[in-house]
Amino acid sequence: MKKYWVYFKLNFQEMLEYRTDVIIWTLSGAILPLIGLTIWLAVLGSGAKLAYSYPELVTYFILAMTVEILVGAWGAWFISEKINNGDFSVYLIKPVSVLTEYFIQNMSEKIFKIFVIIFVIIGVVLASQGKIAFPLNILNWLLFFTSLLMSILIAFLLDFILGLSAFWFHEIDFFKNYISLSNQLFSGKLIPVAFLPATLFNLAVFLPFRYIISFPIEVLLGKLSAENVVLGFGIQFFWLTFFFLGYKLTYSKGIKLYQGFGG
Amino acid sequence: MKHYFKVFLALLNISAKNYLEKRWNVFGIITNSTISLIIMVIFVNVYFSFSKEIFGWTKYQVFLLTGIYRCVSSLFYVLFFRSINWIPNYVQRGTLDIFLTKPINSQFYITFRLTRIFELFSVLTGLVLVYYSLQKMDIMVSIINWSFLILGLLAGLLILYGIYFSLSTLSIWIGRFSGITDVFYILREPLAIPLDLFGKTTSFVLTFIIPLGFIITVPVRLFFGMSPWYFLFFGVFFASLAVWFSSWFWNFSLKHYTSASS
Amino acid sequence: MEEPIIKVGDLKKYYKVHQKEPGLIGSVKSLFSRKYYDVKAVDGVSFEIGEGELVGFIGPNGAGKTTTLKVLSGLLYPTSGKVQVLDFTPWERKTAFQKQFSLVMGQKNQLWWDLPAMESFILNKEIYEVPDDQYKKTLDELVELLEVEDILKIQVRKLSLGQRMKMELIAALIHSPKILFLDEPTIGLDVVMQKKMRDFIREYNKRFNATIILTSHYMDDVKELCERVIIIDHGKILFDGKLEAIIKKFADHKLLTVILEREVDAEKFREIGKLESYEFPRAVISVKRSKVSEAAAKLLKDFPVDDLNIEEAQIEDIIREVFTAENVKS
Repeated sequence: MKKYWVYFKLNFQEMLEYRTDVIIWTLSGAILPLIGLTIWLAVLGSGAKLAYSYPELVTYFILAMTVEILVGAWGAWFISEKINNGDFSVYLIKPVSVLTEYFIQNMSEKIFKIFVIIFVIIGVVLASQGKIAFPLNILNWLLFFTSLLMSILIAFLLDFILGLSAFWFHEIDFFKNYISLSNQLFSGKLIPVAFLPATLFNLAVFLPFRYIISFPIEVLLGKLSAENVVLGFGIQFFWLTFFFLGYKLTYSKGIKLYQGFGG
Repeated sequence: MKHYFKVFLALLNISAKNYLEKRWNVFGIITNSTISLIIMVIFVNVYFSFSKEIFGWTKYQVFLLTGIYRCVSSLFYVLFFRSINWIPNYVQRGTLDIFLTKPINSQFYITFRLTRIFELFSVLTGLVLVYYSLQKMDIMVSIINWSFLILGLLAGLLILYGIYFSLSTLSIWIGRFSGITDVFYILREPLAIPLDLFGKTTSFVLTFIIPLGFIITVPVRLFFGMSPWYFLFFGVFFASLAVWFSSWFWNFSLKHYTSASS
Repeated sequence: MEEPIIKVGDLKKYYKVHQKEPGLIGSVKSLFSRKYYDVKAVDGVSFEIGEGELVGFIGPNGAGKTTTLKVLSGLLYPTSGKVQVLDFTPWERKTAFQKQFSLVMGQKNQLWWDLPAMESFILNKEIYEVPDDQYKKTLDELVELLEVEDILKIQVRKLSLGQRMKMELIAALIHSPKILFLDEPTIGLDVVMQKKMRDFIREYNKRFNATIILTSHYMDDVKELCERVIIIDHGKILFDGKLEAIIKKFADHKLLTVILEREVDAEKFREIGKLESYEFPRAVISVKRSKVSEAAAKLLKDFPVDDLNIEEAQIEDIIREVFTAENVKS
């Protein structure tokens, strides 16, 4: 257990060295929800009838920014590089597993990012003159945190598998781009899933992207009927299991291939 | 000067060859741009499914703006993005030293070193969208408005260059700047929508203080006659200022670099 | 010497570095307040170099060698002092000046990684405005000298380190510079490649009469290449002159190496001189110059000697002598 704490401290220290970068990365995570908020407030302001009111939109996108920061995973590129230049062999010898190492690094950076995003949130609240719909239902908060935990894991595993795909594909940029594009459409970062037209909405319900950002927020805001909450959790749990098994499979098959090549 | 033009061509050549070394790159560009464009079209459709007009903009006007945004941001990728993005890398690895010993203006060399000629395909997708919107709008646009658009966009491109290059130059002062890629993302994303949507104060700040508005929104407004003609001159003014500043800051930073390091 | 092409007068280069305490607390502390201290990288250096000379700057890491080189190539501008290279002030970085020299720094490469080296050569040709026929002639000469005909069209990333170094050299020399600055040219190379590099440098200097300044902390580079050596440490020049002069001036002893037929008590060597190392069957004894013949005779008479060798003291040791002598003085 101690070694994880030491590792965490080291990562945090190193991160302080590049704190400007971390601040920028936090802001870049917030930019899409901020643009989304601007657009939908403008749509509302032009007289349209939306399923979300002004305060609800502000709250939604504040939550979207926060959840985005909390679920973020960025190890894919680093993992793929290590695989490509042979440094991955180190993990076959070290006593800390690859997954744990990246997870700790991920968490240590997030702690700093949370501080940064709080400032952005304050800014947004001030800019909207405090018109937010702070959710008061305790049950919804509990469900939110449960779902959020699963989101964090799903996002992390998905990113990890993406990195591991370097065992087979030299360039992972392709898949990264497609995932990122799908994310824009189905995750609710820019367009709340509830606003999507029928066909896209149905797709969104079954694809994993909604369960990374949008679903926990929809639960918290109380916008879903009881059946839909249960259905949502079911699908989210399905995707979590799917990506967990996917990670295990990719890792074991990938390692075999990697060792076959002599690293 | 003929010398600089020849070096520019040689750089275009070597970058293109370099790009083709990774065989999937071209395929990637084509699929990526197409899907990206389709998604943007879907977005705009969704926004306008709720309202016929948003802050004075109609659907096809926004489509046109989106197409223009695609063209300009892709053009930026063709010419400048990668080159500017690598500056922190050069500073960290010391490759900047090698460039400084070469008998060519360092800003010019670094600016055009890593072009991406194949991204012109993305520019094409943007033009397709522009054409489509014009068809749907069925309006008459005078040559004057077209010139305002094109001149305005050229100025806009230079503004974006000046801002991004100057920000990248900061790496000389702070030693490392991995966030430089995301800085561009932060600058670029808001440009995809009409900046008027940000409300009176914010859009004023984003137009006249940090001149982002002059990159896409104002030229398109000039095209539709939504903005007064003299806004073109503001744009040109900001473009000159941006390029001048980037050059001044670059040289100023090099002085620091050549005196503070070892 | 006719008019020297490099003139350095009392060059000084100081800069500030900030200190950071280790650990988490140290990192947080340095966010708020920083302690700076002065580093005197170059502290009053003067020398002149004539056309066609091959000069080596020798010194330990941090001695000021690379800093001096950077000032000469215009990459740094000094805190004070006068520098003239080919009648130019280097840090003004005039194009006419830059076309006449080349800087090669060990790990900083300029070749495009995924392309054959040829492409990088062509790019440099355009940058330095080398006329077509001169380009072809120079390229052919360099390719022949470095024996790289068959690998010109292979991507740089697929080449070995030694091959890459050769290509870097061609890229750096394609514009036939009058002056070549080489920073640690043999670092990271294996023994065979090091020799090839030195041979090339020597040959290039002879054939093209190019002035070459190299920095190194490897003694072998100096021994093999440089007639003239400038020893630099802590930013100051300790010695500037011919290699033989150093040996004569600072090496007051020679090394006797014996191969013994049977074991001998180490104590007995004390009678001969200072025992530097003894690992049976080999013993190395250092003896004052004047006493060498006497010592050799004694060894052969009183010891079971199979073989005997007399050598100059290692340059490394000599240089160390030079450094310690100066430190004692100051």
